[in-house]
Amino acid sequence: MTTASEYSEVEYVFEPHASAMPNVRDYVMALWARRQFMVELARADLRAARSRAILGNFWSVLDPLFQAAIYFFLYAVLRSGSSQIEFLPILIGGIFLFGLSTAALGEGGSSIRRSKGLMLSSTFPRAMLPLTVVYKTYRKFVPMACVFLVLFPLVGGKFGPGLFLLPLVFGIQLVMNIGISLLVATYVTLVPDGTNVVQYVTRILFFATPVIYPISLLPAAAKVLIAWQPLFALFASYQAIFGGDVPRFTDVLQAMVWAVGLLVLGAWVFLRREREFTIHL
Amino acid sequence: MSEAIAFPSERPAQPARPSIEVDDVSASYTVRIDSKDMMSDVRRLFRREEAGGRLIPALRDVTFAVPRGSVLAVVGRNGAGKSTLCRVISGVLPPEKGRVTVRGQLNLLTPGIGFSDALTGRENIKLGGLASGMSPERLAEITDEIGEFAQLADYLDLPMHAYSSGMRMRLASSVAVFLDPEILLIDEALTGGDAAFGQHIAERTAKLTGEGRTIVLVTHGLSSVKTMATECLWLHQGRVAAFGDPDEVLSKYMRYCRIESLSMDDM
Repeated sequence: MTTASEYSEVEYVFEPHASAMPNVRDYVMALWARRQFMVELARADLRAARSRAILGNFWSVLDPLFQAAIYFFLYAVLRSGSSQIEFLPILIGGIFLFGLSTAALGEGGSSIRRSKGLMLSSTFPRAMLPLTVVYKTYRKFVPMACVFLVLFPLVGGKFGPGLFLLPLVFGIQLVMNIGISLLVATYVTLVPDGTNVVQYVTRILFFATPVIYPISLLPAAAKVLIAWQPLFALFASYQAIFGGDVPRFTDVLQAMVWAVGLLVLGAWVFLRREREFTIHL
Repeated sequence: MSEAIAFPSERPAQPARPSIEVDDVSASYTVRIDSKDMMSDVRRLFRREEAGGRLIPALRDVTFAVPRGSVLAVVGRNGAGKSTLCRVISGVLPPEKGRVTVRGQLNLLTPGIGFSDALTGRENIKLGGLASGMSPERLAEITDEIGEFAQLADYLDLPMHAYSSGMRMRLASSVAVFLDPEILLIDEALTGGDAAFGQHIAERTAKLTGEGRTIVLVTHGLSSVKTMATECLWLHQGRVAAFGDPDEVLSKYMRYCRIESLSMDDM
């Protein structure tokens, strides 16, 4: 234990809450020092979500299976008589992966507001909370990915050379999701009606992203209207990969630019405003 | 407004400098107010009032300093700004005006919040410790010690929803005094648990003070102030009503509150 003669020489100065950036290097180091906290908090959240369920952790496998079954049924009904491309494996993959971005928007966005108790009782880099949501979502995604790998060939999916680009596209989505969660968490914490707006944005994005329809079915005018939004090029790339093709270079590049842009913007806004958060909780 | 500095910086050692300096600090927080009906929402929109919240001034022009190794007791009626002061000192809530300087590693623990019901006592200790920046290895070493200190060794592996409110308070207070802080802010901690546990934690706090730690104790228990405090701050409606020797401040406070004699649950 530390005694008076061994006092550390750290000095904290707290001044008014003008928008100000902390030292980014110090901030990242403080985040890294608490990585174990992020892991434990994610584990606690996952456990709390399943604590009263009889089937407990089995739900992490049952959830994606049920989702796949629902979309299989819808697809079978909607597809009857049509000669469209074999879209089911692409649809299931798209739905599973879109869930990661939905969680970044919804859960990531409300992560600060939902952790009022922790925010008011502990001092830690606040970005830890949206980052924990992203980490938790990817942890939840592991059993989902296993289910998908088993289902994919069974529902007629075929892997092509584009498969080698899957880790890159997946990584781009991770970076994008971190940026989205930081940006939306700031917005939802500071703007009282933020949660309502985010719900509608999520729904709009679901229909404006090639998840439940093949890009080839999209009318040219609609494509012009929605192709600029951040998730479009990303999911266009996923569609190409799960369809056995190679994603277009311009799609991957566009997704990459969006991901880096959202990360930089999200981190900049979050770090500038995070000291104000407790005033609004 | 000047820039907020949220991360520690290395400075040359100056032992004479106080652990905590609060200089002309004012702070506010937002309170959400639900609208009565849709018409009041419409009126608010047209009047361009802040939607759903009102800024409440909690501290006004507060100035004091706490020397190293001392125990500062903060007293005052409910709503006087005591908890807000703790949050400003710990950096949880930024001040609106003024400057707070804290020299040394600080830990704030407000019992009853920040703990997850679905997790066991052991897991909650781990979560609280990790949030404070403690290493998992050090936490593994002290978890059983904390459990024994809290007199909850047999309950550590049960989920927190099985704990009574007194047991939660005991665990939270114990975690607070075991996380190796150089400066410890205890908000209402000593009011939880029974008299025996109050005595138990008072002894531990005295030990920490003996080791040179600085302690800020927000309490309604005036007897604790008498026995433990080396300085006392009386806050009234967000302003400093009195600061200094505990006996003098307490007698002023008791005259104000018209208390004749002290007991464990004085205020």
